[in-house]
Amino acid sequence: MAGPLDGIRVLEWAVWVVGPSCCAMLGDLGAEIIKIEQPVLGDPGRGLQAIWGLRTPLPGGGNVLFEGANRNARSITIDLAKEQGRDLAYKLVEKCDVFVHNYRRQVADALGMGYDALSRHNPKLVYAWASGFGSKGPDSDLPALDTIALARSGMMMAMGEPDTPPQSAVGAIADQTTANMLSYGVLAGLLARERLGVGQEIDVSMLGSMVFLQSLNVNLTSIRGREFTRRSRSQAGNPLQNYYRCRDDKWVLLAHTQADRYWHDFCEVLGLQELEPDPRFVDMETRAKNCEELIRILDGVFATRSQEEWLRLLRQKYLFFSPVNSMADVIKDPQVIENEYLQDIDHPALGAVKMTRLPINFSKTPVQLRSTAPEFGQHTEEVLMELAGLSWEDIEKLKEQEVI
Amino acid sequence: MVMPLEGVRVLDWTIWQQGPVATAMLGDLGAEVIKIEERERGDPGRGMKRVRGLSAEMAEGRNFYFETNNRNKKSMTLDVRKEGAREVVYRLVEKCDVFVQNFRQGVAAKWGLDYATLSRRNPRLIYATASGYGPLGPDSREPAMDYLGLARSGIMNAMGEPGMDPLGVVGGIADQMGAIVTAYGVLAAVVARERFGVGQEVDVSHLGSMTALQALNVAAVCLLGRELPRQERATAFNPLWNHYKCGDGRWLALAHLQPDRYWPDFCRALGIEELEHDPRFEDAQRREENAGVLVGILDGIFATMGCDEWLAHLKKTGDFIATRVNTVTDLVKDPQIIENEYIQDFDHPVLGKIKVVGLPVRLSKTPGSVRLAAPEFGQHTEEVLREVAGYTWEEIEKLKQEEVI
Repeated sequence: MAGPLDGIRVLEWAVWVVGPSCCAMLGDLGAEIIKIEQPVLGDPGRGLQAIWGLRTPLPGGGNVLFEGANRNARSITIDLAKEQGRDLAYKLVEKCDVFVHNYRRQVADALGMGYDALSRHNPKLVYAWASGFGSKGPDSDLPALDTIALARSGMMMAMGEPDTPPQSAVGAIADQTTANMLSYGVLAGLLARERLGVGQEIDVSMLGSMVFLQSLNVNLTSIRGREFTRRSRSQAGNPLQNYYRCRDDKWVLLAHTQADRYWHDFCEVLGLQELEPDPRFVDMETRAKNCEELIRILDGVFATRSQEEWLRLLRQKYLFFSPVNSMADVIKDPQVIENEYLQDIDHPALGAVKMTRLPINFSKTPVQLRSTAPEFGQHTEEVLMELAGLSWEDIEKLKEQEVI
Repeated sequence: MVMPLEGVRVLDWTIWQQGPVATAMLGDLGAEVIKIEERERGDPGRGMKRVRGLSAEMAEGRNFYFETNNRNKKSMTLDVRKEGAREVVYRLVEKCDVFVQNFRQGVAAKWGLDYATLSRRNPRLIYATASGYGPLGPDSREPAMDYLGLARSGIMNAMGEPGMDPLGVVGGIADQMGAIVTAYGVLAAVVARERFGVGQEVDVSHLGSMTALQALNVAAVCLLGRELPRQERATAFNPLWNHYKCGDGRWLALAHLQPDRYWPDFCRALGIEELEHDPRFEDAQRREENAGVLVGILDGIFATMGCDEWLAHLKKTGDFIATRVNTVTDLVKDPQIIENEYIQDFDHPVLGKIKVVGLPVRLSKTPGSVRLAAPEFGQHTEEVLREVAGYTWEEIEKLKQEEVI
């Protein structure tokens, strides 16, 4: 059977990660994605030279950032600054179910791509857009990128140890979180359309998405008026919920929220039976009081074996443990491979590669990464002829006028 | 107007955070969510006394952890280990559209609550499972917790600076991401059911959700064969993509991914026009080579004014991409948050007027909403059994006597 969105057509006018990645997810679910790019320059994600100090261009002219966020899309070029370009876009809107963009509202309005303009051409259109800071408020007109959202949302103050400067994270996780929420909004919009027959405007922001991701932190402060303290490894109040360096410098993490239940088995696995009845460590409260001492003991014990040995021992008692993976570990992790969180795909320029896809397995309407990121404007003629009813002659003319 | 999931009924057999938040999100969109809780102790999230050294308890035995994860739900109790309990679930399943569970693999089958069994009673049922590591693979039966999801997914090595030990993050981030993806999967399956008439199984895990969250980190390794390096602030390869401490001790973040475009305006705004054509800094390449020097200069300049002053100044002098580094305490007062209702007022039956996280997705015609506070333990057992599954008072009495509910 086809994917859940088989037969749904999405018109994407988006750049960088948030909008494109949202559509890549919809594409994984079976939707057809048509990406509008500005002629000449295209999505700036194509031209990115480096991010976090890593050169991103790929052999064959691709780009790491662009490849992941633009899988499943067809690319067409249209200059929306020209009236003819806008008319072309309106013709496509008539044939599409969903429109996604991640420009600021004033930019969309100026180019005739606001909700009011597009819904006149298709009243049942699901129109979804993402901004940095939301559609209202004093900063709704400001631009934003991933790290801006990490900063504004409090996330930089949630990472790392207490009393250290704010910490950042690599990998565009605020962008991706927002893409997830935008895509979620599109699904809710499609459902409302299927069930109630309405098209509508859906808006999502990086700030709102990151706030929601940190619901627990936010609600603690808003309901109780207190903040979580960042966690300190050497003073973790629950040493059975902490991580330890092994003999081979790899790390093992423990996550026993209900630590008293596991203290006996834990002592046995670590060969620390003499500590089990020790009054300093006998329950969660005493262990919290004497955590630094216990962590020092555990640091010593974990340093005696390799990560692999510890994982084997911890597994025997069904304890809550994990290796602390690097990204290189993740892509080799048999759990990642067997559940197909990465999919093998034959890339036209790069050959056989693995790429992320929507991490959801459906038993009857399976999802898959269907195609790699398009070349710039690869499908312009194809899409305009199929959907907007243009002839070769029309297309030639639009090219001469630099509309496409 | 009605909500997108109005009329959709969800049977929620989940505990802690990953499962409960997923069903709360469905509730936000209008679904009726019935939470099945273990009849003596309930969801262990109710018993969460301390989180990261902070007391979680509030008035009348409420705790903020459970409140956060269980809004928009009804609660009923059930001892699934008892023979009679299964029939109760089956009768409810016949009247429900979605079933969500997050128990370790094998537990649902042991109590007759697996997909094969439940779909016989309702072939159009959408059955979602949220696990730690996915349904396949050597660790598919292992228990899961947020913290394990962080460790296994590599994100602890994506946060912080090079050379640091792995770092943690507070707030149940892997649980929350797993929940978002689970709710997303359920929505996609409801769309598929509307369009194609099929019920099906939907599987989501911490590991998969957190791996997809780091799609860019994964792509760097898969396509370039290299890991994105953690960034050191003092030598940030792009000093216009970095954070700086201001004169009032607060931090400000800049995010200019195309720094050459902004460099001349940036120099003018900071009053360092003389650096614009300085051969050490004149383009992205040079600034990367001399990053340590430039970050040092910028540290000195940002230290001369408070964070809000800097932001006002930047807003006035150009189209810069900048913001303050908020704490959560700042967040609840941030006008941007308040106006967009990312944190909203809520009238709680026990706690009174409080603020809670709102909905990050605004639908213009069929908006969702936070309607109900987390339920009291077993508050709706009789109501659900009578109204949804059609039980008589007599049958309910009997189930109570048998300690099934």
